[in-house]
Parts: sequence; C-alpha cells; structure tokens
Amino acid sequence: MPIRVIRGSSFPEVRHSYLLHLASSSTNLPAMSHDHIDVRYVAKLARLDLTEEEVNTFQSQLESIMNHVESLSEVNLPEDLHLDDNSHLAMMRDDTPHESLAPELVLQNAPDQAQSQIRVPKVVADA
Amino acid sequence: MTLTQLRQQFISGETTPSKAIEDLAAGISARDPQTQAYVSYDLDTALEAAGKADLSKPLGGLPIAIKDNINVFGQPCTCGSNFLVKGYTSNYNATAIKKLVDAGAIPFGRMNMDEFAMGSATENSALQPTRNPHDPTRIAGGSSGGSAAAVADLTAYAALGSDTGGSIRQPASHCGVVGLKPTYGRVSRFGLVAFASSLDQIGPLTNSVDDAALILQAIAGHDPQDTTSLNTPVPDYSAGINDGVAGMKLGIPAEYFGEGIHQGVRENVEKCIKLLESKGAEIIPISLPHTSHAVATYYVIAPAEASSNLSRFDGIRYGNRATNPDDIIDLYHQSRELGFGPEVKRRIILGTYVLSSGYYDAYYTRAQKVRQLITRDFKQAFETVDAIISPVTPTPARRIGTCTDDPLQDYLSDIFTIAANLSGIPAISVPCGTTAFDGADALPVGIQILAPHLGEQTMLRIAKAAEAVRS
Repeated sequence: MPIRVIRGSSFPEVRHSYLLHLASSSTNLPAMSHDHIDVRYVAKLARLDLTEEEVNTFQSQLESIMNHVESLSEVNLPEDLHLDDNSHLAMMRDDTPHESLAPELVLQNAPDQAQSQIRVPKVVADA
Repeated sequence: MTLTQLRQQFISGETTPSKAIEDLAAGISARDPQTQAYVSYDLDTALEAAGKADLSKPLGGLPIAIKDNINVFGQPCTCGSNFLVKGYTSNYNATAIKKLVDAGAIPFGRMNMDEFAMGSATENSALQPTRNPHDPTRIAGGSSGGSAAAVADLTAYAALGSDTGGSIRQPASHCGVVGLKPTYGRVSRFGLVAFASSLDQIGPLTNSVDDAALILQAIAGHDPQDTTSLNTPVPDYSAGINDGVAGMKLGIPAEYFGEGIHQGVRENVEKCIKLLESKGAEIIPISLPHTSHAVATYYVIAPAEASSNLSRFDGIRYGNRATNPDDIIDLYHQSRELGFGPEVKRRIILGTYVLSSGYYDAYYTRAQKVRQLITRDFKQAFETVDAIISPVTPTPARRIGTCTDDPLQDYLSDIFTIAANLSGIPAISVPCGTTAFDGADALPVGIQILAPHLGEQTMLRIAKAAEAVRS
C-alpha cells in the first residue's frame, strides 16, 4: 500500500536544545520527604537500560515530581471511600471463542519469524 | 470550512469528495512544511474511497485526519515514537475508525503527537515538533497537537484525537479550534494505543461545535471489545444544540480562577461567561475543593497505568527490535532503550516506582482515593449546576523549546483539564477570543465547559451558545 511519508526528519536544533535542557532541572518545592529513588533499580524492573546521564537527569526530575506527589499525604481521606466504586467499568466478557486476527496479519509486523511463528532468543537456560 | 459546510457542497454538487481530498493534499504541500502537523498521508487509498463515497450517509465522503495512535488498517501508526516508526503497520481498524467509515467518512492523514501521547506540546514527538499555525515559533499544544494544528491550518476539515489529561482540549485551545473529550466509556478505546486506560478517551477536534456533535454521533456507542465501554443508548447530539442557555445554571469554580492565570486568558473567559449570562444563563459561584490535588493524583495514576501498558513494547511482536541481544532479557532492555524517548522513559520509571513493593499503598492506593474525592466534588457541584465553566489552560501557547527542562512545570500547566479525566466526565474546549502574550499580538484562548457524566447534549448546547456569542 503506497504510504507517502512526507516527513521523517526532525527540527534538530529544537530537539537538541530540548535534550540539553533535560540535563538540568529546577523546582522551588520543599525538600523531599520520601525515600531516595534508586533509579537504576527501578529502570531494571521496567526493563529499561539507562545511560549514566539519563540516570542522573531522571534522579533529580523524579524526586521533584515525587515531592509534589507528597502533597497527597496531606489530604484528609473520609472512611467511606472504597476503591471498588468503579468496578462496573471492568467487567469480564464471556469466555467464548470469537473471530480474531488471522495468523498472517499477526505475523505481518513481527521483526523475526520462522515457520509461521515469532522467533525469540532462547528462554530456557542450559542444564 | 467546516465539515457541515463541506457536506452541503457535496450534496449540492459544488464539489466532490475526491476534489476535497485533493484540495487538502495541496494545502498540506503548501503549509505543512511549516506546521508539521502530518506524520504521513495515503492519498491513493483516500481517493479510492472518495470515488466510492456514499453521500447519503451522515459523514458521506468527508475526510477526517487521525491522530497517529489510533489504528487504521493498512496505515502506519507511529504514536510519535521511534519504537513504531519502522516495523508496524496497523493490521486492524480501531472501533472509532470502523464507526467513522460506517458513517461514510474517509480517514485521511496520520497526525503528529507527543510520543505515546505523553506531553502537552507535541515537542515530545520523536519525529518533529508541530508548530502553531497562529505563530510558528509556538507550540500547538499536545498531545493531539498535529490534529489541532491541521484543523486550525485548514489542512484537515476535522480530526480525531485522544485525551488522557487534556490532550484534545489543550491543543484545541492553543490552536483556536473546538476539542471534545467524551464521557469515559462513551467512545470505544479498542484500537487506541493505550497510555492510561482508566483515563484515555478518543474525541473530535473541529472548526465548529456542530462538527464536533456530528463526529461524536458517529463514534459514540457500546463496543463489546472494550470492557469499559458504556452500554447506554446514544442520544441525538445535534437535537436541541441551538436551544441556548436561558435558564441554565452554570457553575464557576473559584479554584479555577485563582492566581497564575494569564490576565488575557482570564478576561476572555470572563467576557464569555458574561455573554452567556446575558443570554439567560444563571451564573453560580461553586467550589471544587480538591482541585489542587488533581495534578499529583494524575501523575501517580497515569504513569502507573502507562508503565503497565507500555510493557507490550518488548521488541518481540512488532516495532523496534535490538539486533544482537545476549538473551531475551537483554532484548527487552535494548529494544526499549533505543525505542523510547526521554519523557516516555521518565513516566515508565515513575509508574514502576509508585507501583513497586512498599510504595503501592502510599502512592497508588492513596491517589485512587483522592481521585474519588475529586469525583465527589463534581457530583456535589452538579447537584446545583447544569455545567461548569473554566479556562482550559493558565496561559496561551508558549514558545517551542521553553519550559522543557523541568517536567513538573509542564505537568502543572495541565491543572484545568486533568480533573475531567480523573472523574470521567465530558468536557469541551471552545475558542473564546485571542490575547497578546509574550511578544505575540493575538493567540487563541479557549473556554472549557464540563458537564455531568453522559451530559454531552447539555455541554454541546452551552458550547454552541458560547461559539455564537463570540461571533
């Protein structure tokens, strides 16, 4: 299908200045009261590799965001609040088979495939 | 030109769907190199559909631009991310697209956006920043910045966007167009690439309130493929839209008119409120006392849901894949590191942190409870008023390249739009004037109308009155 991609390039000067600015963060919020965020550990949980620069940038930015989030601890919570108030929004549908995507459509985007299946690196460790 | 006007021209024979699409393509060639609203478009497929258009249908032959996170069969769907620029072509239609096409419309164009809808400026697009047609040195807003800018630039007659914390209404306000976020569950999310599933909604961006009603009519309704879809009848959104505001009670929340609002924004919004009052609306001061906690609540819940939703981008089934991983875990790490931009990584880490062992109750559970208090504020307010009026944003569009060094400051600018997503109520942004700001002579200002759950008809009626008093 002919897709005419009419723009793939960025405005490099804008992106560049944005990325540079990411390196310095400033806020006027009070000092943090939450625990120190171990960015590298959390990134590992999220399956993200970060560069040293990203770790340092995110460290200060996330702590400033969490300082703001700390304001929620000041909210007086009435005892009659229940978290299942919206349970009607998450109903399960009937467990019955229905039409779904054809295998060739599912495989259409898979970056690595063989024998009509998606190929992945070995998951089971050697004995 | 509005969709309604274009439809009349189709019916009178003044123009044809094919000609309308060719006009758009010419407009894109002429103006989009500056605005950068489009990521891509597929002229051949659109013209083929135009040749078969059924003009008897409500949206017969009308081209509608689509935010690049809503799946259209056979089209790219980059979500503004390097993760999906290569290696992903939609293999199905989102329900909203299926409904648009069933109503006769032609999806045309993939609109730029902040990566995975995370941002308020369309500067977080990995592809390009979108520029505001009213002043190309300024942001179009976001995350549906491409949709808003194209509609304002008349390179699209109308567009679909998605709104998780204001991503339809804020760019609509910055670009001087109408942007509608429906009630949560009113429009199916099936086929919308998920950011924060309890907040996301698809909605229209248009050049008139009538057009917004027309598109909402087509895309609203129950969908068994979205378990959060509401199974309630869809009313006629155009019926009574011209009935005016006489006798309506409009609440003005003190918390939305405090310090920090640009004077020009305040004056335009207050002027519009006075005009609505002159048309017979009763203006009632109200309070939404938990407003100040909305941003903190949102920036726990939205990243938490995003960190879960974006786990699907693992390099296995589609999109970016690392070439020489050591093992499968390394494959995940490398594919995601190379595919995601800084804002997406920041929010995934934030969401993973607030959900992690030992912090879940302190942050996530507490945020969900505060969310209920914010919802209660609205429920109580709507016991005495029919709708609530506020600004959409504290300031007009800022310059591109400013304010991005401190994400929290950008997050705080979402203060007026976030609460509607947290509580699931519908809200619309309607242009209400222009103001001088930061060296610019006339930047658009929007007024926001918030209505009770499933109160779209009331909301559209007030929006139409606000649109009428401005003109």
